[in-house]
Amino acid sequence: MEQISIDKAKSESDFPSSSHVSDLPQQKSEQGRKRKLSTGLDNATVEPDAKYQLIEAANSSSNTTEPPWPTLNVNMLDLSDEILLLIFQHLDSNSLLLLSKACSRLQGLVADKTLWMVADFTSTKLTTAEVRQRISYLQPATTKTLKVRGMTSVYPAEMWNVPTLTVGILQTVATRCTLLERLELTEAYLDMNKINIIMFPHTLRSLVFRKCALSVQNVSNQFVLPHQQMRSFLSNMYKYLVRLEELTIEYCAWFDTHDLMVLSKLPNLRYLSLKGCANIKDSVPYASIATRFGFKKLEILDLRDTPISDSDVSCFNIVHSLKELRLECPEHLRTETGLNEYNEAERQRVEQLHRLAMPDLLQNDDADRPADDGVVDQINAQNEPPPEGGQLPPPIPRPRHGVFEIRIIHGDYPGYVRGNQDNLIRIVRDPQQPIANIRAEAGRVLPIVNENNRQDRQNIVRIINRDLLLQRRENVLPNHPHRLLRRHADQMQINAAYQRIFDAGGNPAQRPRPEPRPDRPDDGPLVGNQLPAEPVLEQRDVNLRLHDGANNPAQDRQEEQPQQQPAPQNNAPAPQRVLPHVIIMPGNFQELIHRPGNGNQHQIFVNLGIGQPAPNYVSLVSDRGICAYGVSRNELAGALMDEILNHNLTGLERLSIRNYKLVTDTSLDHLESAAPQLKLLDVTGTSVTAQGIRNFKLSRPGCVVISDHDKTGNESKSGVVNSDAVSLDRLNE
Amino acid sequence: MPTIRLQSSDGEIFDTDVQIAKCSGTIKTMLEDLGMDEGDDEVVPLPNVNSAILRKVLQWATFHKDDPIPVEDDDSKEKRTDDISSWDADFLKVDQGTLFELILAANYLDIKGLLDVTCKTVANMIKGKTPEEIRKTFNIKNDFTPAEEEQVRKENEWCEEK
Repeated sequence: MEQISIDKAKSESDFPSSSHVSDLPQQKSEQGRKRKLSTGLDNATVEPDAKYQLIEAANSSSNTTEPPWPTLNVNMLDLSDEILLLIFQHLDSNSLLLLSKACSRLQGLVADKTLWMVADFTSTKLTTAEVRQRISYLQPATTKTLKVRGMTSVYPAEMWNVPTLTVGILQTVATRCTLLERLELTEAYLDMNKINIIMFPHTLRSLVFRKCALSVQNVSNQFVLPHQQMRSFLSNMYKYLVRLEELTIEYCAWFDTHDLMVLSKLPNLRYLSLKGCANIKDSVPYASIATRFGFKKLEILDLRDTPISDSDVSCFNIVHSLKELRLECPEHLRTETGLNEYNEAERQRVEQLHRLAMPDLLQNDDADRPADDGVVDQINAQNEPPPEGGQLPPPIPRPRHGVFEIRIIHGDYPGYVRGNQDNLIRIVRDPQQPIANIRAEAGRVLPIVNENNRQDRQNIVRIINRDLLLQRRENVLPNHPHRLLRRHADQMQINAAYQRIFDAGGNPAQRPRPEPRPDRPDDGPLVGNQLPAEPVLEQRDVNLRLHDGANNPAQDRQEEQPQQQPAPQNNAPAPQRVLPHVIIMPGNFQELIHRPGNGNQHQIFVNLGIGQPAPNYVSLVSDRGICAYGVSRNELAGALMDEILNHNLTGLERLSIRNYKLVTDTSLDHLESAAPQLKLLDVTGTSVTAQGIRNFKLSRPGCVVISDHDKTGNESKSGVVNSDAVSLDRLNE
Repeated sequence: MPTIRLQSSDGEIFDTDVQIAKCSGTIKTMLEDLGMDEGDDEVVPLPNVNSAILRKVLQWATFHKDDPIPVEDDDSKEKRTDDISSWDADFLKVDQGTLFELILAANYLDIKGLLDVTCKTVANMIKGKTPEEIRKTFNIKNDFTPAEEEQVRKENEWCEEK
């Protein structure tokens, strides 16, 4: 067959100028026209040639049964099988399948097993049925790679009811392709209720999940509650996929830090990419253990485009086999605005998690209270009847950087206020340790504040019940309870009370009264009243000041104080009387912002003012993270012996730290002596200086350095470095 | 610069740099195995390549004579067809017949780079086409029986989806 077709091709290519052959029909007609129309010289020159071709064409057409002109070309089917297979090698699997429908010979050729070493279906987004149908083309003995693209990019979240893989498909693949080594799933959707990682072919050496989604994510928009937590998709992976050497989980929202534990147990894992997994932050609890006891063979780790911090990065410094580490700041965190927005979103998310994770906190409060003292978390809403069934309040839009929200919740906290379980308003919002605090409250334990850590105290917000509001409510409740604080006068009162409190809070040297007050005598008993109720508060923080808002209306501002009269009245009914509680917030408050919230809710924000550090939920990788790798000679101070030195060096050969502004020459200095194996260092987009780079290069001539300074400055070397940048990119791919 | 005389199937003789001619694995092996001397006036017949195609092949070889020898790493090779250089793309703007003849010549002369780039060009012509479009493009006759056709159609309704 092959011989025949080549011979045929040869016979057809025997024309003197076969590249012109296809033009023949046109030439012919031109000649005809010319014969009729012209008597010029050009006729003479062209005609013989044309004649010759005509004759030849006629001869060749007589050899074949096909019509003369169109078939003068070598047709694709004239090529030998061998050559056609060479061509088809370059086709992806979807194109091959389409090709096979063209004619029977092509159908036979496409089934050739050499074309199915790599079954790459990623050019089309496939439904379940399409995947199932394509699986049947896989060749038992030869297919080693399977790549599939699912539909998640096509359907919005709720409509991902098109699982890319089913149990049946996985079984077919596993039984049919006994040599499958690599499986790539892109934009695939997997139903976690049916599929688990252990169903994947155990022959795999390389597994890729790229932008894949799992079913749990679209069950609802709610977070999964702890007691409903399903097993991780990756659980028990290490028991079955023992051959796995390369694992890529990129841009998958379902990956969580606890999955690191499973991955660390994979016995042969050499390459791990978690690029773009947004949940790989705060991984220390798991990563520190995982790296200490697992990841024995891990050589390449890719954590680019993730919101990791120094601590996360440092965890991997004890993976001795690690040769390459890739870090790159996610694009949305590279600017200060982006960082702030991210922090804000995180804060919101954490808070929402609290509410969902601790529903009993709110519900218990609700149950313990009389109807008019329900759960509220807005200052204004405390005057409303409780929402039926203890419904969770809707998430509240959060203020931006530097602004804290103060929330108030009715709570029954025996440890907090003994004997005054009624009408207690309190919330603790500790931006630095939100989880710990809320948990503590849930367990009816007082918030724990590390007394040794002054910084913790700086951000404590305490809101404590005030007579002011309650007493007003008692007066107005029968009529329109929730309108109470809508009235401007009331708001102003609250403002005034808060202002005083804040004044005191910001001024630790002063005891309760920042300014002498005419009503000072009233203060004494009230404060005294409070002390037994909240002794811990008092002990805990010298900055903490307890004020009775009702009896100490602020006078440093021009607020009206109509409640001054009701206040003493309110003190009389002792059992119902609620201790005056206070917001304590050390620091310089520039203003208190009242803002109408959703519906009947009302929000109060405290603006910390310029210069106050906002609590950050993410801190970007800095020198600290980089310097965790190995110990530099500076740190050793030259006092240690070589053998100890060697134990403390990192084996990193390739390191890329891109776009982290907090990485400076300090890192270069460190790496210079702490990473003797380093061959490639990419510090593009960091704050390293040209001088730093120069020094590093001088002492480490064997190490290729890629930085911003290569492109602009360093004249002679730029060419070399650029080509190296290309090679790094290639290497990264 | 030593030259070699190559003769096409239709008798035309091309005086060619040996270095350029050695792009062809076939000629290279022949020169090395047979130990042809420099200045030897002997003509190397290439009965499977006509002069027009040979001229194009030599044109390609001249341009690519300094290319590094491609490394064979079939395992890691991705199926990419979008990596054709612009010069090659221009060079291969020819009719289908010439393209196929170039493939045949490259195969016969064992010029891996040219074979690769021509095959990729054809692959690009196939990609993204429905079976009917493929038939039209390459003048292929549909030889499926109506029954087979129907079955194929049923099995593969996704083909027409696009």
